[in-house]
Formats: sequence, C-alpha cells, structure tokens
Amino acid sequence: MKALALRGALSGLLALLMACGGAPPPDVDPRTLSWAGIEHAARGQQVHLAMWTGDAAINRYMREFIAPRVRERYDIRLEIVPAAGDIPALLANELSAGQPRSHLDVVWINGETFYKLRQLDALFGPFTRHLPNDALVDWHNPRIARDFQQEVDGYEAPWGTVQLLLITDGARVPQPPRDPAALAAWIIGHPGRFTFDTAFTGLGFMKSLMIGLSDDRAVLDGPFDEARYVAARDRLFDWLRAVQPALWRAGETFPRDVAQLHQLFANGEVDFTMSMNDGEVDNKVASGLFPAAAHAYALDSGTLANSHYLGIVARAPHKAAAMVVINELQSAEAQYEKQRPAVWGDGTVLDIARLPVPWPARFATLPGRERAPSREDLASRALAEPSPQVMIRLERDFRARFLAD
Amino acid sequence: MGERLRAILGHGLGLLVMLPFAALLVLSLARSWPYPQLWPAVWQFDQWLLFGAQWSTLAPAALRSLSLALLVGLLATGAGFLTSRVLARRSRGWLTLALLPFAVPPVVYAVSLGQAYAALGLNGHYGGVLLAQLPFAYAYAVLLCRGYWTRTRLELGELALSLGARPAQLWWRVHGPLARGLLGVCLFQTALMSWFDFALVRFIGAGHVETLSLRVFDTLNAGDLRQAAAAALIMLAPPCLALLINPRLLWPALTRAVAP
Amino acid sequence: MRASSPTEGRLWLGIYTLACGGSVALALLLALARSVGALSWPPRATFDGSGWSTLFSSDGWWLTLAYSFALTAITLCLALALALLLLIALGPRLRRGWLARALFLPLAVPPVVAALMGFVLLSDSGLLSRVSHAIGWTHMPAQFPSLVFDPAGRGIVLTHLAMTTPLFLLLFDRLSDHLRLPLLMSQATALGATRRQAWLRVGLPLLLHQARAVIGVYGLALLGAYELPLLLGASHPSMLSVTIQRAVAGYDLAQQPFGYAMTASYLLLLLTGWAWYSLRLGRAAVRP
Repeated sequence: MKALALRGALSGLLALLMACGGAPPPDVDPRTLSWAGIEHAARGQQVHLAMWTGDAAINRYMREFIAPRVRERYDIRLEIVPAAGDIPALLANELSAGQPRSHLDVVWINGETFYKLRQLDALFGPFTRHLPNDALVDWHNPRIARDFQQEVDGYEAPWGTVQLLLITDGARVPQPPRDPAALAAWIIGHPGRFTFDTAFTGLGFMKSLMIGLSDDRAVLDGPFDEARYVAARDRLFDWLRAVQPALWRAGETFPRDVAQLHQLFANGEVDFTMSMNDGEVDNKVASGLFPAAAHAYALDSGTLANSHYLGIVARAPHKAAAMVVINELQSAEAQYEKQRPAVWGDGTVLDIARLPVPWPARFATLPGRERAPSREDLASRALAEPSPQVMIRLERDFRARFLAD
Repeated sequence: MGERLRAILGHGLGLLVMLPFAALLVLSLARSWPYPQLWPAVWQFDQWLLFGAQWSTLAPAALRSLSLALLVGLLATGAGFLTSRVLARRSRGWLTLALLPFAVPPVVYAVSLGQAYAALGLNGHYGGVLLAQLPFAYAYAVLLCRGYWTRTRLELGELALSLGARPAQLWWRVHGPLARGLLGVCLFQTALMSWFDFALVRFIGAGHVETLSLRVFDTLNAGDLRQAAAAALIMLAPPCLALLINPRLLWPALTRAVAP
Repeated sequence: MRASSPTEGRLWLGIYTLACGGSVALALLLALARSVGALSWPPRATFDGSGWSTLFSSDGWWLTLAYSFALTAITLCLALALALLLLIALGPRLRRGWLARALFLPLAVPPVVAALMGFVLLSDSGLLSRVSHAIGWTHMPAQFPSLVFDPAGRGIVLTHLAMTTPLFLLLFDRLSDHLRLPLLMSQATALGATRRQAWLRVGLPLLLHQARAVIGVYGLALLGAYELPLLLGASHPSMLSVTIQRAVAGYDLAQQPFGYAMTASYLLLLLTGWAWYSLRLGRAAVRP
C-alpha cells in the first residue's frame, strides 16, 4: 500500500516537473500570415530574449521601457534571459538533444555568433522583410546590411549601431594617445595602467589595432584570407609583445570581460577602459560609476564600427510574438529612447530621412553626447568589421600565445 | 596564553569575521567610493531604492528562490529521512553512495547532464532546476538523518508496532516528535543548499529561472558592485536570521556525524 | 508488523541508488559520448578523437588539474593549521560571548557572495589596499600585492580560507569536547609529555583522524569550486570547473570535445577515489 502511494507520489512529481515545461505551441509559420494576423497570434504569448546583461543601463531599458511597452500594446510578456557567448552552445545542446521547442525565442547577436548560428542552422528566416518597420531600416548603409562581412539575408534584424571607443579619465590622462604607436609609448611610460579584456570588446580592440597597424584600412575586408590574417595578426602580436610587460599585471592576466575592465577603471586601478557602446561613457558618469572627467574617443587610426542584431531561434515556440517584439524594438519610439545618452546611447538603424513626422526633427534634436565625439565626427574613423573567422582565430591564437604558459 | 591576550585575540577574530559583512553594507550605501578613501565620498540609498523600483523583477526572483528552497527542502528531508531508516538496517557501505553527489561539482554535473535535461524538455524550467538540485539535497539529508536511526530508536519503533500502533501512528506519534529538531535542521539546511545554488540554476535553468543568486552574479557581472552588495545582503538575510535563532541550524551534516 | 515492507525498502534503495549513483553514472556516460563527438550538433558520421588527443597532448588539462589540486591542498593545510592554532590559543573563549555566534557567520555565506566579499576586500583598490595606503605602505593600487585575478590564485586561497577556517575551528572545538581532549592531554602531561608533545602526539592526530571525512569532503568541494575561481581568478590558469565550463559552454564549439573529455576524466577520477574510499570503509568494517 505504501509502495503504491510512493509510486504515485513519484509519478506526481514527474508530472509536476514535466508540466513546468509547459505545453508546446501550435506549429504555424507566422510568415504565412498578414501583420495583423501575426499581431493577433502573438497576443498572450511569452517571448524569451537571450541577451548580454553586462550593462545595467541596457538592462534597465529593456526591463523598464520595452517590456512594459510590449505588454501594454500587444499583451506579450517579455522575459530577459542572461546569455553571452554561450548562445551557440546553448542552442547546439538543444538541437543535439532533439528538443522540439527551444526555450529561447529571440537572441541578441552579431558577427561570429551569427556565423556560428547559421552554421548550426539554428536561426529562423528569412523573416525581416515581413516586419513593417523593416521599410524604415537604413539598408543602404553597408554597416547595417552586412554583419562582419556577411550578408544578413533576412535572418537577423538590425537593432543598433556602435563604434569601439577608448574611455579615459581626463583628470589622470590630459593628453590621451591617438594612434597605436602613441598608445604603445603611453603604456610603456605608464606601466600597469592599461589593459583590455579577453572577450568581445577586447577582441574588437585587437582587431582595430590589426587594421590600424596596417597601411591599408581594407586589409581584412572580404572573405577570410589566411595569409592576410596571419600577417595582420603577427603585426598585432609584435605590438602586444612590445607593450606586454607594461600592461596591467605585467600582461600575465587580463580582465575576463568589459564589465571587469570597467570596474578596474572605476576603482582607479587602470587609466583606460573601452566600450563597443560609444554612448556608454555618458550614462556611466551619470550613474556615478565612472569619474566625472571620464570621456571617450577613437584612435586616429580608426576603431571598429558595427551593428548588432536580433535573430529568431529556428525552434522558437513563439515566433509570431518574437517578430512583434523585434518590430517594436525597431520602431522610431524605441530607437529614439535607446539613442538617448541618459538611457543607453546606442545608434539607430533607421533611415531618419524616411521616418514619419515628427521623428526626423526629434532625432535631430536628441540631446548630444557630452563626453564622446558625435557620430558624424567618428564616421571618418570607423573601420569595417572583418569576417567572423578573424575573431574566432584571433581569440584562439591570443589565448595560445599570451595566456598559455 | 594570558587571559587578557586571549580576550584581545578573541575580539580581534570576531571583528575580522564581521569585516566583510560591514564592507558589503557600506558598499551598498555608497554612490562614489574612489580609491584611496576608506569611507565613501558620497553616500546614497539608491541601491536599496532601486530595489524598490525594480521590485517587479526582484520580488519574483526572491519568491522563486524561496519556493525552490522550500520544495527542495521538503522533498529532500522527507525522502532522506525515510531512506536513512532503510539504510540503518544495512551495511555502512551503502552510506558511501551519498558521498558521490558531494564529490561532483555542480558545474560538472550541469554540463554533463545538460543534454539529458534538454532531451526531457527540462532545461530552462523551474522543474529542471528542482530535479537537478534534489540529488545533492537528498544525499545531504540522508547523511544528516542517518544519525537519528540508532538501534534504540529502531527498536522503539518495533516495540510500538508490536503494541498495536499503525505505521502512520508510528511516524506521527513516535518518530515525528523525537526527530522534530533534526528534521527542522535538515529542512533548513537542504533549503539553504537550494537558496545558495548558483551553478545549477545558471546552467540547467539556462537563465530562465531567475533566482537571487543569479541576480547577485548578474549585477556583479554588470560591474555595479554597489548593486551587487545590496543583492548579496538580501541573500544573506535568511541564514543570518537563522544564526540569531540558533547557530546550530547552520552546522553542516557531516560535522554532526563526527562531532554531535 | 514492520514499519515498512521489504518492497518499500527496496523502492527507497532504488531511488537512493538512482539519485546518488545513477545521476553520476549518467553524467559520466554522456560526457564520454560527447567527448567523442557522439550526440553533438551538427551530427557526425564518425567518432571524433580530437578531444582526447588534446587532453593527453596539450598542457591545458594537466595544468588545470595540478593548479586545482595545489590551491586545494594549500587552502586545506592553511585552514587546518590556522584552526588548530586558534583552538589552542582561544580554548574555552570560543564558546563565550558574541564570538561564539560570529564564528557561524561564514557558514551562512554562499560562494558567489564570498567572491564579492573577496573582491571588495582584496582587490588592488579594495579595502585592505586602502588601509595600506592610509598607513603609508603603498601609494597606488599597483603597489599593493596582486591578490585577485592573480595567476598564483592568492585571492582564491585567501577567500576560501576565510570561509573554511571558522568551520574547522568550530569542528575541532566540538571534537575536542566530544573526545574529551583536555582530559587526554592532561593525562599525557601527567605521564611526562610537554604541552607541545601532548598536542603533537595526542591532540593533533586525534582531531585530524576524527575529522578526516569532513576534511575530505571539503577538500572535494574546494577542488570543484566554480564561483570563486571564476570571479576572482586569473584568465589563465583556471581551476577545474571554470576550465571545463569554458570549454564546453563557450562560444568556440570546436573546444567542446576537449571540454567533455576533461569532464569525463574528472568524473572517472572522482569515481575511482570514491571506490577506493568505499572499499577501505568496507575492509575497516569487517576488521575484527
């Protein structure tokens, strides 16, 4: 009798556990529906958006502006799922396990992540032309139309544009170095006061130097070329070897990500940090994290500029709601709010001239950045992102040469 | 050693133990605390007020942590108590099986079994995290409760049954009252294991099951130490409360086995 | 009538074996499978031995293993030594006043919070560095000894030390009571031993022998630690759990077979250790 009761309890527990997974949604390709049909199908659904949550300002924008907005307008519950470089591994795990429905709907991606997800066939698409706001996207901008030299092919929707900037404290560094040679001299002259992280931002910094140390700004453009990569990598590694003993901790260790680098900068342990978000310095100073005299700038030799995107997971259970959320994130209101320096400071992907009144005027009178150059000033120093294989190879080679004994 | 010196050493040790907690408290109330200042240059309550403003996200995380902890605690304690009784009649070798989950780091467990959880559709779900946390809590409960089942208590049970008690009465009227203290400690400690868990929540929960431990990690990772300090203090509240009630609630299972 | 039927007993034993042993066995099987490319995505037609060949040919695995064992051994030795010294120095004071409760506080701290505490206190611009600046020992953060993000793992050791020493101190205090150590020590001195000899020949061996299971379990916990090494450790070398997680779940999917090979190796190592311990226990039980 007891054994029966026990078996029953175990079955109940298993049922409870399985029930927590929720029932799989019906299989409808939202691309077969009109936009009104998509909005209707999206109502009452929950969207899980996987994104890097390493910036409190971005998290606040998503949780306090976007999430309530999509709830109110479309009755969609937006859940933010912390994820970073592990999105391909997460999705590969699901696919190899034969999971019919992913636990993610939308992923915030670009570059090598997009590349890997296409390789895994883990993205739904093409879908972007079905979004009403896609007509407002500035597809003529090559930085938006191509992601790390790859055609997006409608598999990811542009969300924002950024450029890598160095951030320093004007009180501690009155004359910041403006090119790789001057930067090397500064590092050697100020031992222990400079470093970079080994994640996305740090790799972006290294790629900027790879191009900046060459005479040709297009040296890494186009498909991956082993010979050109090796030549550029060796120039970079020569530069790194020259400065390594003067880096923070004598270059024996590096911050694992940009958030850790920001902490070192905020604590006064180093005099520079960097960011792929050219508007970040303003909101970090406003929140009291960075010193009041902090400001951002780009090297004269150029820094990488790219766009970031939103993709829909191939086995996403809520594709219709995912499309509605992405469309909302591309809306003029959401893009305007995102571009405000006090909120996020992220560049828009929209063609301002094609926006309906009054948005062009509103964007034109958006409060400017106080501590970073304007986007117009930065444009001449914007370098195109090389192909994703460059980043994958660079990360591996850097670890092998500078982190392994 | 002289008594005076002993007193100084004792107080010094106590202050050293309290120092990290005090540092967290000060940090959670700081706006600007630049090097080399020993005290924040500018104080603010924003970290705690922000929690008020973000209560819509923090409250679910705290409730999720609490519900998970209670469920894990109840299931592990109940199952552990009943299992330990069965093991009491068997050789000690059986107990060594309970040491296995302690030997395996939760991260290793999560990366190895992640695919199995995905195949069952349990990754990214509350139920998956619950299932993942149970083996650790259950093994712990078995070790802790094993100490209850002395020969005397086993024979007491047999005696009660021979005198006509039904099995339900045996548990309710005999073992229940006797084991109440131990079961309370077991429930608290297994719940605390779940409350503290980060690795399983992170990798089996895949970011979907947001608990307080994940919030502490995420705010720390986002670079805002002040916010992380406030979240950490909230996380420390239940065990520190237990400390005020009865410090022995925090005394780990294995240590009880060797030093009752 | 028995309180439980044989069927119920077998059912609980089955649940127990499955939960404790079965889950670990399944973890090992899956790790082995993934280490040779089986069950991976995209699916492979043939087995992939690259993970195992990388494991045996590169320094990565052996370095991480040696590094993890070294930090664990150092932490344990220091924690035990410190706990014993404090026990000798403080004696009955451990059970009096606010110290008696304060010593339980570190038991209430989860690893992720401990990592935050470690960073706040030990980083180059942390509290200890500021105190050092205030008393004139250092003038800038870089002059303070690198205790976090340090390849030597000093921050990891110090923070783990702060967490485990109070536990061992409390344990030794209670063991001392349970074993009636003061009585044994006074008997030893009465028989001619010095106080030092009494501690080294009687007290210390007894305490360590009685606490060996706890020391072993905490040693394993330190070996497999994740949050502290992740948040306070250097990018290289890294401890076992961090290295494994990076390889398996990082964005370079080509590293996955190697990551799973490391996972399987570590699980085999643990199972071997567990089997040896179980056999020893079994032999001790049958010894007359």
